Amino acid sequence: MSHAILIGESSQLNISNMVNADAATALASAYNDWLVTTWLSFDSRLLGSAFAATQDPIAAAREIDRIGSHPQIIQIALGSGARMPYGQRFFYPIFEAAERNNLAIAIHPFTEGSLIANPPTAAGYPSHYIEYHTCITGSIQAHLASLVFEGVFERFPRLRVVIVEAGVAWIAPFVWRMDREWKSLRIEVPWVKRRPSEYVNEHVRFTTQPLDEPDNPDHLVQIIGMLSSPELLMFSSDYPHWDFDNPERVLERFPDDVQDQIFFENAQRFYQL
Amino acid sequence: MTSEWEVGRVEDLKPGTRRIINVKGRQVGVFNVAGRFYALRNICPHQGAPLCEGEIGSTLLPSRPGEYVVGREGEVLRCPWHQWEFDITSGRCLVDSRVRVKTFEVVVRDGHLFLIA
Repeated sequence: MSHAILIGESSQLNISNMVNADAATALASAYNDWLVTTWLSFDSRLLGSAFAATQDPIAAAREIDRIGSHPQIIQIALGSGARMPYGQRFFYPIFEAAERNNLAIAIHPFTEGSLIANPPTAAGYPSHYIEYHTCITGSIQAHLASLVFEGVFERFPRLRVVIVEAGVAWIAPFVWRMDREWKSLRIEVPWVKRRPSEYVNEHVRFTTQPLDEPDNPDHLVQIIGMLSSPELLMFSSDYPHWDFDNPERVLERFPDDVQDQIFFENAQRFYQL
Repeated sequence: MTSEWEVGRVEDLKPGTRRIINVKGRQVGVFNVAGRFYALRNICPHQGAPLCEGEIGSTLLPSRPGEYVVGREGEVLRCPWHQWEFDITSGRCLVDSRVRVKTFEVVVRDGHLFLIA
């Protein structure tokens, strides 16, 4: 293994949902320092995801400039629990700073409905974890559509986004849907000059966990084959969470060259490793 | 060819406990469920976890909406990785009987347990 990318945990993903922006900014900073001293200095193969408190995007950008020069910090992590979709201009200082420091933006499900974040589903608060956990792609899809249709990738042409641990089977049909909507409704968002799928192909990557488990395992191979390219996918384990994917088993149905891409080459290219 | 593998003394494997042994280079979990003995291969058919190291306990039986009925105390093994539940007495996954872990017969003779493998 040449590199492992650390994502952080639920308590860090919740920093941006704290009521007190100053406390959140300080906590993000403290976490980032801890990440560097505890993990990144422990082994040069470890790469880190820094946090920035979105309540105060100007302060967040300062934090990104401060921590972003560390060679092992490769991305800024955001939870999908948010007060508004991430494509909105409120967040632009964060994207500007990420682009300036050549860092990706990683959006991870979780923290929806927590503290000041919006409810976990558009239908409201589910009673059970199993409902919430089934529906986590919902907020991720809303953020992705927002990033594309608000023109974030036109404003920040070098911005790279990775959707982390939101599953994969939904991606192809969702991108088809964005393309279809765009053909009819693009006049509402004229700055979206190209098909949404082109922005996704150029700027967005998705990590694999949790890989869906259809009764016929070949169906997973087929649905991933419906993506424009397997280049869109990067392996993620979600270790040590209860629903993690075992790298020795989950991609065994895929051809060797696709496995090489998903396990290694795509991340190497995306993160310029 | 099958042969017998000694597991240990019956009195050392109390009800509700397990022991994981090596048989022909493979790990097998031997369980005492209320005085009856069962053995399962220590590999989860889902993603290869050490299934037999999982929690032994009960389950919530299929019930009417809003009703919680605990049952099958001591007969259910929960995989330590993804929490799939297996029936220790049959090796079958509770929610999908097509998914099963390999089982072995256990016999008691002269106060000792033997695995047939």
